[in-house]
Amino acid sequence: MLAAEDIDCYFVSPEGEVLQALDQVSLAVEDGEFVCVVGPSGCGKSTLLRVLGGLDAPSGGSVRLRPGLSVVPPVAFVFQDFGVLPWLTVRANAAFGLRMAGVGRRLSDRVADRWLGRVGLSEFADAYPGRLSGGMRQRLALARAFASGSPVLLMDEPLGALDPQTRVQMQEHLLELWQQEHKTVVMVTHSIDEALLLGDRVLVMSDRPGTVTDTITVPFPRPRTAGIQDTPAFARLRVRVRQALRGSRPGIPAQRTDGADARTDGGTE
Amino acid sequence: MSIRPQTGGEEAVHRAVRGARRDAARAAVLGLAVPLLLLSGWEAAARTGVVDALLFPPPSRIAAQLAAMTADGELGGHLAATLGRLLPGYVLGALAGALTGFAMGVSVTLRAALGPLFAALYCLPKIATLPLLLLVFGLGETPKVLAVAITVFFVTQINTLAGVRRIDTRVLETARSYGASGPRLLRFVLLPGAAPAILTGLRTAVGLAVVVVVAVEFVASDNGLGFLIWNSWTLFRPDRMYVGLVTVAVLGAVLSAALAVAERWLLPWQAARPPLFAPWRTLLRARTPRS
Ligand SMILES: Nc1ncnc2c1ncn2[C@@H]1O[C@H](COP(=O)(O)OP(=O)(O)OP(=O)(O)O)[C@@H](O)[C@H]1O
Ligand SMILES: [Mg+2]
Repeated sequence: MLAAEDIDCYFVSPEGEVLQALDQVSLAVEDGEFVCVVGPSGCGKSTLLRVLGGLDAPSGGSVRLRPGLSVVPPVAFVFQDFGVLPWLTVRANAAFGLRMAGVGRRLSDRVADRWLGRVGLSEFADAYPGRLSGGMRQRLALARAFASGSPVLLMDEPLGALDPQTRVQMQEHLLELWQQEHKTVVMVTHSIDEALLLGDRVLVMSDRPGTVTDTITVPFPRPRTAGIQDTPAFARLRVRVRQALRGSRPGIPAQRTDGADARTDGGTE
Repeated sequence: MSIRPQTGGEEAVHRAVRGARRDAARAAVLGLAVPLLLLSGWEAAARTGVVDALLFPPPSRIAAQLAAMTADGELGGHLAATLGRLLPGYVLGALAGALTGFAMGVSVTLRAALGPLFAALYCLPKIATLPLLLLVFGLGETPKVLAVAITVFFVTQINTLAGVRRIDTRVLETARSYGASGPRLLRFVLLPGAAPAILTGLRTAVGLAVVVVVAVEFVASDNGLGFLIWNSWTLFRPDRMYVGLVTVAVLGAVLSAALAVAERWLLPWQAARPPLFAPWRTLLRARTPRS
Protein backbone atom coordinates (compact mmCIF):
# COMPACT_ATOMS: atom_id res chain seq x y z
CA MET A 1 0.00 0.00 0.00
CA LEU A 2 1.06 3.51 -0.76
CA ALA A 3 -0.31 6.31 1.38
CA ALA A 4 0.30 10.01 1.70
CA GLU A 5 -1.10 12.19 4.44
CA ASP A 6 -1.45 15.97 4.47
CA ILE A 7 1.39 16.54 2.05
CA ASP A 8 2.52 20.16 1.78
CA CYS A 9 5.21 21.14 -0.63
CA TYR A 10 6.88 24.53 -0.90
CA PHE A 11 9.57 25.65 -3.30
CA VAL A 12 11.80 28.59 -2.46
CA SER A 13 13.31 30.37 -5.43
CA PRO A 14 16.84 31.77 -5.30
CA GLU A 15 15.25 35.23 -4.98
CA GLY A 16 13.51 34.06 -1.84
CA GLU A 17 10.01 33.84 -3.30
CA VAL A 18 7.98 31.03 -1.87
CA LEU A 19 5.76 28.95 -4.12
CA GLN A 20 3.34 26.43 -2.73
CA ALA A 21 3.02 23.46 -5.07
CA LEU A 22 0.97 21.10 -2.91
CA ASP A 23 -1.53 21.86 -0.18
CA GLN A 24 -2.67 19.16 2.23
CA VAL A 25 -2.78 16.33 -0.29
CA SER A 26 -3.82 12.97 1.09
CA LEU A 27 -4.31 9.75 -0.79
CA ALA A 28 -4.21 6.04 -0.19
CA VAL A 29 -3.56 3.56 -2.97
CA GLU A 30 -4.37 -0.09 -2.37
CA ASP A 31 -2.07 -2.86 -3.55
CA GLY A 32 -2.79 -3.55 -7.17
CA GLU A 33 -4.88 -0.44 -7.59
CA PHE A 34 -4.57 1.84 -10.61
CA VAL A 35 -5.05 5.49 -9.67
CA CYS A 36 -5.02 8.29 -12.21
CA VAL A 37 -4.34 11.91 -11.40
CA VAL A 38 -5.68 14.72 -13.58
CA GLY A 39 -5.36 18.44 -13.07
CA PRO A 40 -4.36 21.65 -14.78
CA SER A 41 -0.78 22.17 -15.89
CA GLY A 42 1.51 23.34 -13.13
CA CYS A 43 -0.80 22.23 -10.31
CA GLY A 44 1.79 19.94 -8.77
CA LYS A 45 1.08 16.52 -10.26
CA SER A 46 4.71 15.77 -11.04
CA THR A 47 5.68 17.10 -7.64
CA LEU A 48 3.19 14.77 -5.99
CA LEU A 49 4.65 11.77 -7.82
CA ARG A 50 8.17 12.75 -6.83
CA VAL A 51 7.13 13.04 -3.21
CA LEU A 52 5.37 9.68 -3.36
CA GLY A 53 8.46 8.07 -4.84
CA GLY A 54 10.80 9.63 -2.32
CA LEU A 55 12.67 11.81 -4.79
CA ASP A 56 11.55 14.99 -3.03
CA ALA A 57 10.95 15.35 0.67
CA PRO A 58 7.63 17.01 1.40
CA SER A 59 7.66 20.22 3.43
CA GLY A 60 4.93 18.75 5.62
CA GLY A 61 3.00 15.53 5.97
CA SER A 62 4.17 11.98 5.51
CA VAL A 63 4.39 9.24 2.91
CA ARG A 64 4.10 5.58 3.77
CA LEU A 65 5.13 2.79 1.50
CA ARG A 66 4.78 -0.82 2.47
CA PRO A 67 8.32 -2.03 2.25
CA GLY A 68 8.89 -4.56 -0.48
CA LEU A 69 10.35 -7.94 0.29
CA SER A 70 12.48 -8.21 -2.82
CA VAL A 71 15.74 -6.55 -3.78
CA VAL A 72 14.09 -4.49 -6.49
CA PRO A 73 13.55 -0.80 -5.78
CA PRO A 74 10.14 -0.25 -4.17
CA VAL A 75 8.93 2.12 -6.87
CA ALA A 76 9.75 2.58 -10.54
CA PHE A 77 9.32 5.93 -12.26
CA VAL A 78 8.27 6.77 -15.77
CA PHE A 79 9.26 10.41 -16.06
CA GLN A 80 7.48 13.06 -18.04
CA ASP A 81 10.73 13.64 -19.96
CA PHE A 82 11.58 9.91 -20.22
CA GLY A 83 14.88 9.97 -18.31
CA VAL A 84 16.57 7.73 -20.84
CA LEU A 85 20.34 7.34 -20.46
CA PRO A 86 21.92 8.31 -23.79
CA TRP A 87 25.11 6.28 -23.31
CA LEU A 88 23.39 2.97 -22.68
CA THR A 89 21.93 0.88 -25.47
CA VAL A 90 18.18 0.48 -25.59
CA ARG A 91 18.56 -2.95 -24.02
CA ALA A 92 20.83 -1.67 -21.26
CA ASN A 93 18.38 1.14 -20.58
CA ALA A 94 15.54 -1.32 -20.23
CA ALA A 95 17.69 -3.45 -17.93
CA PHE A 96 18.84 -0.46 -15.89
CA GLY A 97 16.46 -0.91 -12.95
CA LEU A 98 17.46 -4.54 -12.50
CA ARG A 99 21.17 -3.83 -12.85
CA MET A 100 20.95 -1.10 -10.23
CA ALA A 101 19.24 -3.57 -7.94
CA GLY A 102 22.28 -5.83 -8.30
CA VAL A 103 20.79 -8.36 -10.69
CA GLY A 104 23.36 -9.91 -13.03
CA ARG A 105 23.78 -8.84 -16.59
CA ARG A 106 22.61 -11.99 -18.29
CA LEU A 107 19.33 -12.21 -16.40
CA SER A 108 18.68 -8.47 -16.62
CA ASP A 109 19.18 -8.50 -20.36
CA ARG A 110 16.84 -11.43 -20.78
CA VAL A 111 14.08 -9.69 -18.83
CA ALA A 112 14.76 -6.43 -20.69
CA ASP A 113 14.50 -8.15 -24.06
CA ARG A 114 11.15 -9.56 -23.15
CA TRP A 115 9.80 -6.13 -22.24
CA LEU A 116 11.30 -4.51 -25.29
CA GLY A 117 9.39 -7.04 -27.32
CA ARG A 118 6.19 -6.14 -25.56
CA VAL A 119 6.54 -2.44 -26.33
CA GLY A 120 7.69 -3.11 -29.90
CA LEU A 121 11.32 -2.08 -29.61
CA SER A 122 13.09 -5.41 -30.13
CA GLU A 123 14.51 -4.24 -33.41
CA PHE A 124 16.33 -1.38 -31.67
CA ALA A 125 17.69 -3.31 -28.69
CA ASP A 126 21.32 -2.73 -29.68
CA ALA A 127 20.89 0.87 -30.83
CA TYR A 128 21.51 3.93 -28.70
CA PRO A 129 18.52 6.02 -27.64
CA GLY A 130 19.75 8.93 -29.75
CA ARG A 131 18.27 7.10 -32.70
CA LEU A 132 14.83 6.71 -31.14
CA SER A 133 11.86 8.99 -31.69
CA GLY A 134 10.16 10.67 -28.76
CA GLY A 135 7.39 8.10 -28.66
CA MET A 136 9.88 5.25 -28.83
CA ARG A 137 11.81 6.73 -25.92
CA GLN A 138 8.62 6.86 -23.95
CA ARG A 139 7.94 3.20 -24.69
CA LEU A 140 11.51 2.46 -23.60
CA ALA A 141 10.86 4.26 -20.32
CA LEU A 142 7.75 2.10 -19.87
CA ALA A 143 9.68 -1.08 -20.61
CA ARG A 144 12.32 -0.09 -18.10
CA ALA A 145 9.77 0.56 -15.38
CA PHE A 146 7.98 -2.74 -15.95
CA ALA A 147 11.24 -4.68 -16.29
CA SER A 148 12.50 -3.36 -12.96
CA GLY A 149 10.00 -5.63 -11.26
CA SER A 150 9.00 -2.94 -8.77
CA PRO A 151 5.54 -3.50 -7.35
CA VAL A 152 4.72 0.21 -7.54
CA LEU A 153 4.83 2.25 -10.75
CA LEU A 154 4.72 6.03 -10.69
CA MET A 155 4.07 7.28 -14.20
CA ASP A 156 4.13 10.93 -15.24
CA GLU A 157 2.21 11.29 -18.49
CA PRO A 158 3.77 8.09 -19.80
CA LEU A 159 1.93 8.33 -23.10
CA GLY A 160 2.07 12.10 -23.53
CA ALA A 161 4.58 12.10 -26.37
CA LEU A 162 2.74 9.60 -28.54
CA ASP A 163 0.60 10.33 -31.57
CA PRO A 164 -3.13 9.60 -31.09
CA GLN A 165 -3.05 6.20 -32.85
CA THR A 166 0.01 4.90 -31.03
CA ARG A 167 -1.36 6.34 -27.86
CA VAL A 168 -4.57 4.36 -28.16
CA GLN A 169 -2.53 1.26 -28.92
CA MET A 170 -0.30 1.83 -25.93
CA GLN A 171 -3.30 2.48 -23.68
CA GLU A 172 -4.72 -0.89 -24.59
CA HIS A 173 -1.30 -2.37 -24.15
CA LEU A 174 -0.87 -0.76 -20.76
CA LEU A 175 -4.31 -1.97 -19.77
CA GLU A 176 -3.35 -5.51 -20.73
CA LEU A 177 0.04 -5.34 -19.03
CA TRP A 178 -1.45 -4.03 -15.85
CA GLN A 179 -4.20 -6.63 -15.83
CA GLN A 180 -1.54 -9.33 -16.13
CA GLU A 181 0.98 -7.89 -13.70
CA HIS A 182 -1.27 -6.21 -11.15
CA LYS A 183 1.10 -3.49 -10.17
CA THR A 184 0.15 -0.62 -7.94
CA VAL A 185 0.05 2.38 -10.23
CA VAL A 186 -0.25 6.12 -9.84
CA MET A 187 -0.42 7.71 -13.25
CA VAL A 188 -0.59 11.40 -14.14
CA THR A 189 -2.36 12.11 -17.39
CA HIS A 190 -3.91 15.00 -19.26
CA SER A 191 -6.39 12.78 -21.03
CA ILE A 192 -9.70 12.19 -19.26
CA ASP A 193 -10.46 9.20 -21.48
CA GLU A 194 -7.14 7.63 -20.65
CA ALA A 195 -7.73 8.13 -16.94
CA LEU A 196 -11.20 6.54 -17.14
CA LEU A 197 -10.09 3.67 -19.33
CA LEU A 198 -7.13 2.68 -17.17
CA GLY A 199 -7.91 3.83 -13.67
CA ASP A 200 -9.83 2.35 -10.79
CA ARG A 201 -10.06 5.85 -9.40
CA VAL A 202 -9.43 9.29 -10.83
CA LEU A 203 -8.12 12.01 -8.54
CA VAL A 204 -8.86 15.54 -9.69
CA MET A 205 -6.44 18.20 -8.54
CA SER A 206 -7.01 21.94 -8.27
CA ASP A 207 -4.86 24.67 -9.70
CA ARG A 208 -1.78 25.60 -7.70
CA PRO A 209 -1.38 25.05 -4.85
CA GLY A 210 -2.57 21.59 -5.75
CA THR A 211 -5.08 19.81 -3.58
CA VAL A 212 -7.22 16.81 -4.35
CA THR A 213 -10.66 18.32 -4.97
CA ASP A 214 -12.50 15.27 -6.16
CA THR A 215 -12.13 11.51 -6.31
CA ILE A 216 -14.10 9.67 -8.94
CA THR A 217 -14.43 5.92 -8.71
CA VAL A 218 -14.49 4.22 -12.08
CA PRO A 219 -17.05 1.43 -11.83
CA PHE A 220 -16.27 -0.51 -15.03
CA PRO A 221 -15.43 -4.12 -14.29
CA ARG A 222 -12.10 -5.69 -15.17
CA PRO A 223 -10.87 -6.91 -17.50
CA ARG A 224 -11.72 -3.84 -19.54
CA THR A 225 -11.31 -3.22 -23.22
CA ALA A 226 -11.10 0.02 -25.14
CA GLY A 227 -14.70 -0.60 -26.21
CA ILE A 228 -16.07 0.82 -22.97
CA GLN A 229 -15.21 4.29 -24.20
CA ASP A 230 -18.22 4.17 -26.48
CA THR A 231 -20.76 3.38 -23.76
CA PRO A 232 -23.14 6.02 -22.37
CA ALA A 233 -21.88 5.31 -18.85
CA PHE A 234 -18.39 6.25 -19.97
CA ALA A 235 -19.67 9.44 -21.55
CA ARG A 236 -21.43 10.39 -18.31
CA LEU A 237 -18.22 9.85 -16.31
CA ARG A 238 -16.29 11.89 -18.82
CA VAL A 239 -18.65 14.81 -18.25
CA ARG A 240 -18.34 14.33 -14.53
CA VAL A 241 -14.53 14.55 -14.58
CA ARG A 242 -14.64 17.51 -16.91
CA GLN A 243 -16.95 19.33 -14.53
CA ALA A 244 -14.76 18.43 -11.59
CA LEU A 245 -11.76 19.86 -13.42
CA ARG A 246 -13.63 23.03 -14.22
CA GLY A 247 -14.83 23.36 -10.65
CA SER A 248 -11.30 22.83 -9.43
CA ARG A 249 -10.25 26.19 -10.74
CA PRO A 250 -12.30 28.89 -9.12
CA GLY A 251 -11.61 32.51 -9.97
CA ILE A 252 -10.00 31.91 -13.31
CA PRO A 253 -11.31 33.89 -16.30
CA ALA A 254 -13.52 31.83 -18.54
CA GLN A 255 -11.28 32.20 -21.54
CA ARG A 256 -8.28 30.60 -19.89
CA THR A 257 -10.44 27.85 -18.49
CA ASP A 258 -11.52 26.96 -22.00
CA GLY A 259 -7.99 26.96 -23.29
CA ALA A 260 -6.77 24.73 -20.51
CA ASP A 261 -9.76 22.50 -20.98
CA ALA A 262 -8.95 21.82 -24.57
CA ARG A 263 -5.58 20.60 -23.48
CA THR A 264 -6.96 18.50 -20.67
CA ASP A 265 -9.38 16.74 -22.96
CA GLY A 266 -6.89 16.17 -25.70
CA GLY A 267 -5.21 12.97 -26.58
CA THR A 268 -7.75 10.31 -27.25
CA GLU A 269 -10.63 12.04 -28.92
CA MET B 1 8.47 0.11 -37.82
CA SER B 2 10.84 -1.33 -40.37
CA ILE B 3 13.67 0.91 -41.45
CA ARG B 4 13.92 -0.95 -44.71
CA PRO B 5 12.46 1.01 -47.60
CA GLN B 6 9.50 -0.07 -49.65
CA THR B 7 10.07 -1.19 -53.19
CA GLY B 8 10.79 1.79 -55.36
CA GLY B 9 12.53 3.53 -52.47
CA GLU B 10 15.70 1.63 -53.26
CA GLU B 11 16.85 4.19 -55.75
CA ALA B 12 16.50 6.90 -53.10
CA VAL B 13 18.60 4.86 -50.69
CA HIS B 14 21.32 4.45 -53.30
CA ARG B 15 21.24 8.14 -53.98
CA ALA B 16 21.60 8.94 -50.27
CA VAL B 17 24.50 6.50 -49.91
CA ARG B 18 26.19 7.88 -53.01
CA GLY B 19 25.72 11.41 -51.70
CA ALA B 20 27.32 10.54 -48.36
CA ARG B 21 30.25 8.82 -50.12
CA ARG B 22 30.73 11.78 -52.40
CA ASP B 23 30.84 14.13 -49.40
CA ALA B 24 33.47 11.97 -47.70
CA ALA B 25 35.57 11.69 -50.86
CA ARG B 26 35.39 15.42 -51.43
CA ALA B 27 36.57 16.12 -47.89
CA ALA B 28 39.51 13.72 -48.34
CA VAL B 29 40.53 15.25 -51.67
CA LEU B 30 40.33 18.78 -50.30
CA GLY B 31 42.30 17.82 -47.20
CA LEU B 32 45.14 16.50 -49.37
CA ALA B 33 44.99 18.95 -52.24
CA VAL B 34 45.32 22.17 -50.27
CA PRO B 35 48.57 21.27 -48.45
CA LEU B 36 50.00 19.82 -51.67
CA LEU B 37 49.15 23.03 -53.51
CA LEU B 38 50.78 25.17 -50.82
CA LEU B 39 53.90 22.98 -50.84
CA SER B 40 54.34 23.14 -54.58
CA GLY B 41 53.86 26.91 -54.45
CA TRP B 42 56.61 27.11 -51.85
CA GLU B 43 58.88 24.87 -53.90
CA ALA B 44 58.42 27.02 -56.97
CA ALA B 45 58.89 30.25 -55.04
CA ALA B 46 62.11 29.02 -53.41
CA ARG B 47 63.57 27.73 -56.68
CA THR B 48 62.81 30.87 -58.64
CA GLY B 49 64.15 33.05 -55.85
CA VAL B 50 60.86 34.76 -55.05
CA VAL B 51 61.55 33.87 -51.41
CA ASP B 52 64.97 33.61 -49.85
CA ALA B 53 65.93 29.93 -50.14
CA LEU B 54 68.33 30.38 -47.21
CA LEU B 55 65.45 31.11 -44.85
CA PHE B 56 62.83 29.07 -46.69
CA PRO B 57 64.61 26.14 -48.27
CA PRO B 58 62.46 24.37 -50.86
CA PRO B 59 60.43 21.43 -49.48
CA SER B 60 62.46 19.02 -51.60
CA ARG B 61 65.63 19.98 -49.75
CA ILE B 62 63.88 19.66 -46.39
CA ALA B 63 62.66 16.23 -47.43
CA ALA B 64 66.18 15.19 -48.38
CA GLN B 65 67.48 16.44 -45.03
CA LEU B 66 64.72 14.56 -43.26
CA ALA B 67 65.63 11.37 -45.10
CA ALA B 68 69.28 11.78 -44.23
CA MET B 69 68.60 12.47 -40.55
CA THR B 70 66.23 9.53 -40.38
CA ALA B 71 68.79 7.25 -42.00
CA ASP B 72 71.60 8.10 -39.61
CA GLY B 73 69.29 7.76 -36.62
CA GLU B 74 69.66 11.34 -35.41
CA LEU B 75 66.00 12.19 -35.85
CA GLY B 76 64.94 8.94 -34.20
CA GLY B 77 67.07 9.79 -31.20
CA HIS B 78 65.51 13.21 -30.80
CA LEU B 79 62.03 11.83 -31.28
CA ALA B 80 62.61 9.13 -28.69
CA ALA B 81 63.93 11.70 -26.21
CA THR B 82 60.85 13.89 -26.71
CA LEU B 83 58.45 10.97 -26.45
CA GLY B 84 60.25 9.85 -23.30
CA ARG B 85 59.21 13.13 -21.69
CA LEU B 86 55.88 13.64 -23.40
CA LEU B 87 54.24 10.27 -22.81
CA PRO B 88 55.04 9.73 -19.11
CA GLY B 89 54.18 13.35 -18.39
CA TYR B 90 50.94 13.09 -20.32
CA VAL B 91 49.81 9.86 -18.72
CA LEU B 92 50.71 11.09 -15.25
CA GLY B 93 48.96 14.42 -15.71
CA ALA B 94 45.90 12.89 -17.37
CA LEU B 95 45.38 10.28 -14.64
CA ALA B 96 45.89 12.73 -11.81
CA GLY B 97 43.77 15.36 -13.53
CA ALA B 98 40.88 13.03 -14.29
CA LEU B 99 40.88 11.60 -10.77
CA THR B 100 41.05 15.01 -9.13
CA GLY B 101 38.43 16.48 -11.43
CA PHE B 102 36.15 13.54 -10.82
CA ALA B 103 36.55 13.70 -7.06
CA MET B 104 35.85 17.43 -7.13
CA GLY B 105 32.81 16.80 -9.30
CA VAL B 106 31.15 14.50 -6.80
CA SER B 107 32.34 16.06 -3.54
CA VAL B 108 31.05 19.44 -2.49
CA THR B 109 33.77 19.67 0.14
CA LEU B 110 36.61 19.04 -2.26
CA ARG B 111 35.13 21.50 -4.71
CA ALA B 112 34.92 24.18 -2.07
CA ALA B 113 38.45 23.44 -0.86
CA LEU B 114 40.26 23.17 -4.20
CA GLY B 115 38.06 25.00 -6.69
CA PRO B 116 39.28 28.57 -6.18
CA LEU B 117 42.91 27.48 -5.89
CA PHE B 118 42.85 25.50 -9.12
CA ALA B 119 40.93 28.21 -10.92
CA ALA B 120 43.69 30.67 -10.03
CA LEU B 121 46.49 28.26 -10.96
CA TYR B 122 44.78 27.38 -14.23
CA CYS B 123 45.62 30.78 -15.67
CA LEU B 124 49.28 30.57 -14.73
CA PRO B 125 51.36 29.67 -17.80
CA LYS B 126 52.62 26.29 -16.71
CA ILE B 127 55.92 26.69 -18.55
CA ALA B 128 56.67 29.47 -16.07
CA THR B 129 57.03 26.84 -13.36
CA LEU B 130 59.97 25.24 -15.16
CA PRO B 131 62.67 27.30 -13.39
CA LEU B 132 61.16 26.32 -10.07
CA LEU B 133 61.06 22.66 -11.11
CA LEU B 134 64.68 22.86 -12.24
CA LEU B 135 65.60 24.42 -8.92
CA VAL B 136 63.89 21.67 -6.97
CA PHE B 137 64.68 18.62 -9.10
CA GLY B 138 67.94 19.56 -10.75
CA LEU B 139 68.72 19.12 -14.41
CA GLY B 140 67.51 15.53 -14.89
CA GLU B 141 64.44 14.27 -16.70
CA THR B 142 62.10 14.69 -13.74
CA PRO B 143 61.44 18.44 -14.07
CA LYS B 144 60.79 18.07 -17.81
CA VAL B 145 58.30 15.26 -17.33
CA LEU B 146 56.67 17.18 -14.51
CA ALA B 147 56.32 20.34 -16.59
CA VAL B 148 54.31 18.33 -19.11
CA ALA B 149 52.34 16.58 -16.37
CA ILE B 150 51.36 19.85 -14.69
CA THR B 151 50.07 21.29 -17.96
CA VAL B 152 48.05 18.19 -18.75
CA PHE B 153 46.80 17.94 -15.19
CA PHE B 154 45.07 21.31 -15.13
CA VAL B 155 43.38 21.00 -18.49
CA THR B 156 42.14 17.49 -17.73
CA GLN B 157 41.04 18.39 -14.22
CA ILE B 158 39.00 21.39 -15.26
CA ASN B 159 37.30 19.56 -18.12
CA THR B 160 36.54 16.48 -16.04
CA LEU B 161 35.07 18.61 -13.28
CA ALA B 162 32.87 20.44 -15.76
CA GLY B 163 31.86 17.12 -17.32
CA VAL B 164 30.70 15.64 -14.04
CA ARG B 165 28.89 18.82 -13.05
CA ARG B 166 27.13 19.04 -16.38
CA ILE B 167 25.59 15.58 -16.36
CA ASP B 168 21.90 16.09 -17.05
CA THR B 169 20.06 16.39 -13.75
CA ARG B 170 17.16 14.42 -15.21
CA VAL B 171 19.49 11.53 -15.89
CA LEU B 172 20.88 11.71 -12.36
CA GLU B 173 17.35 11.77 -11.04
CA THR B 174 16.41 8.71 -13.09
CA ALA B 175 19.45 6.92 -11.74
CA ARG B 176 18.53 7.90 -8.22
CA SER B 177 14.93 6.79 -8.65
CA TYR B 178 16.18 3.34 -9.66
CA GLY B 179 18.38 3.19 -6.60
CA ALA B 180 21.73 3.68 -8.33
CA SER B 181 24.54 4.33 -5.89
CA GLY B 182 28.20 3.68 -5.23
CA PRO B 183 30.20 1.78 -7.85
CA ARG B 184 27.14 1.17 -10.02
CA LEU B 185 26.30 4.85 -10.16
CA LEU B 186 29.92 5.49 -11.11
CA ARG B 187 30.00 2.88 -13.85
CA PHE B 188 26.61 3.36 -15.42
CA VAL B 189 26.04 7.06 -14.96
CA LEU B 190 28.88 9.28 -13.76
CA LEU B 191 31.76 7.90 -15.85
CA PRO B 192 29.91 7.69 -19.17
CA GLY B 193 28.19 10.98 -18.43
CA ALA B 194 31.47 12.80 -17.92
CA ALA B 195 33.39 10.87 -20.58
CA PRO B 196 32.80 13.27 -23.49
CA ALA B 197 34.14 16.21 -21.48
CA ILE B 198 37.09 14.18 -20.18
CA LEU B 199 38.04 13.28 -23.74
CA THR B 200 37.73 16.89 -24.84
CA GLY B 201 40.12 17.78 -22.05
CA LEU B 202 42.53 15.03 -23.07
CA ARG B 203 42.49 16.23 -26.66
CA THR B 204 43.18 19.84 -25.70
CA ALA B 205 45.91 18.59 -23.39
CA VAL B 206 47.74 16.78 -26.21
CA GLY B 207 48.34 20.03 -28.06
CA LEU B 208 49.45 21.86 -24.94
CA ALA B 209 51.71 19.00 -23.88
CA VAL B 210 53.54 19.13 -27.21
CA VAL B 211 53.97 22.90 -26.84
CA VAL B 212 55.37 22.53 -23.35
CA VAL B 213 57.73 19.67 -24.09
CA VAL B 214 59.21 21.57 -27.04
CA ALA B 215 59.55 24.74 -24.98
CA VAL B 216 61.24 22.84 -22.18
CA GLU B 217 63.69 21.31 -24.63
CA PHE B 218 64.47 24.74 -26.04
CA VAL B 219 65.98 25.88 -22.77
CA ALA B 220 66.87 22.89 -20.65
CA SER B 221 67.89 19.98 -22.79
CA ASP B 222 70.57 18.76 -25.15
CA ASN B 223 68.37 16.34 -27.04
CA GLY B 224 64.78 16.10 -28.21
CA LEU B 225 62.88 17.78 -31.03
CA GLY B 226 62.78 21.11 -29.21
CA PHE B 227 66.55 21.02 -28.85
CA LEU B 228 66.87 20.16 -32.54
CA ILE B 229 64.84 23.20 -33.56
CA TRP B 230 66.57 25.60 -31.18
CA ASN B 231 70.03 24.27 -31.90
CA SER B 232 69.48 24.54 -35.65
CA TRP B 233 68.63 28.18 -35.17
CA THR B 234 71.83 28.90 -33.25
CA LEU B 235 73.84 27.08 -35.93
CA PHE B 236 71.83 28.73 -38.69
CA ARG B 237 70.69 25.48 -40.31
CA PRO B 238 67.10 26.22 -41.40
CA ASP B 239 66.80 22.90 -43.23
CA ARG B 240 67.41 20.99 -39.98
CA MET B 241 65.05 23.34 -38.21
CA TYR B 242 62.27 22.55 -40.66
CA VAL B 243 62.85 18.85 -40.12
CA GLY B 244 62.28 19.43 -36.41
CA LEU B 245 59.18 21.53 -37.05
CA VAL B 246 57.67 18.98 -39.41
CA THR B 247 58.34 16.15 -36.98
CA VAL B 248 56.69 18.04 -34.12
CA ALA B 249 53.68 18.79 -36.29
CA VAL B 250 53.35 15.16 -37.36
CA LEU B 251 53.79 14.00 -33.76
CA GLY B 252 50.98 16.27 -32.61
CA ALA B 253 48.72 15.18 -35.45
CA VAL B 254 49.35 11.47 -34.81
CA LEU B 255 48.63 11.80 -31.10
CA SER B 256 45.44 13.78 -31.77
CA ALA B 257 44.31 11.21 -34.32
CA ALA B 258 44.95 8.41 -31.84
CA LEU B 259 42.76 10.19 -29.32
CA ALA B 260 40.06 10.75 -31.93
CA VAL B 261 40.02 7.01 -32.61
CA ALA B 262 39.92 6.26 -28.90
CA GLU B 263 37.04 8.70 -28.57
CA ARG B 264 34.99 7.01 -31.21
CA TRP B 265 35.62 3.68 -29.57
CA LEU B 266 34.89 4.92 -26.05
CA LEU B 267 31.82 7.00 -26.89
CA PRO B 268 29.89 4.82 -29.34
CA TRP B 269 26.60 6.55 -28.52
CA GLN B 270 27.89 9.80 -29.93
CA ALA B 271 28.50 8.35 -33.37
CA ALA B 272 24.83 8.67 -34.22
CA ARG B 273 24.89 12.45 -34.01
CA PRO B 274 24.25 14.25 -37.28
CA PRO B 275 26.81 16.76 -38.55
CA LEU B 276 26.46 20.22 -37.06
CA PHE B 277 25.89 21.96 -40.34
CA ALA B 278 24.29 20.59 -43.42
CA PRO B 279 26.55 20.92 -46.44
CA TRP B 280 25.84 24.12 -48.32
CA ARG B 281 24.84 22.12 -51.31
CA THR B 282 21.73 20.75 -49.59
CA LEU B 283 20.81 24.20 -48.36
CA LEU B 284 21.14 25.61 -51.84
CA ARG B 285 19.31 22.74 -53.39
CA ALA B 286 16.34 23.25 -51.11
CA ARG B 287 15.75 26.68 -52.65
CA THR B 288 15.79 25.64 -56.29
CA PRO B 289 12.45 24.37 -57.52
CA ARG B 290 12.29 20.69 -58.34
CA SER B 291 11.41 19.50 -61.79
N1 LIG C 1 12.35 22.09 -8.47
C1 LIG C 1 11.45 23.09 -8.46
N2 LIG C 1 11.81 24.31 -8.01
C2 LIG C 1 10.91 25.31 -7.96
N3 LIG C 1 9.64 25.20 -8.34
C3 LIG C 1 9.22 24.02 -8.81
C4 LIG C 1 10.10 22.90 -8.89
N4 LIG C 1 9.41 21.86 -9.39
C5 LIG C 1 8.17 22.31 -9.61
N5 LIG C 1 8.04 23.60 -9.25
C6 LIG C 1 6.81 24.39 -9.32
O1 LIG C 1 5.79 23.67 -8.70
C7 LIG C 1 4.59 23.78 -9.45
C8 LIG C 1 4.08 22.42 -9.80
O2 LIG C 1 4.96 21.81 -10.71
P1 LIG C 1 4.70 20.36 -11.31
O3 LIG C 1 5.84 20.02 -12.17
O4 LIG C 1 4.42 19.44 -10.18
O5 LIG C 1 3.37 20.61 -12.16
P2 LIG C 1 2.54 19.56 -13.02
O6 LIG C 1 1.19 19.48 -12.40
O7 LIG C 1 3.29 18.29 -13.16
O8 LIG C 1 2.42 20.30 -14.41
P3 LIG C 1 2.38 19.68 -15.88
O9 LIG C 1 1.03 19.11 -16.06
O10 LIG C 1 2.59 20.85 -16.77
O11 LIG C 1 3.47 18.67 -15.98
C9 LIG C 1 4.92 24.63 -10.67
O12 LIG C 1 4.44 25.92 -10.46
C10 LIG C 1 6.40 24.65 -10.75
O13 LIG C 1 6.85 25.89 -11.20
MG1 LIG D 1 4.28 17.41 -14.73
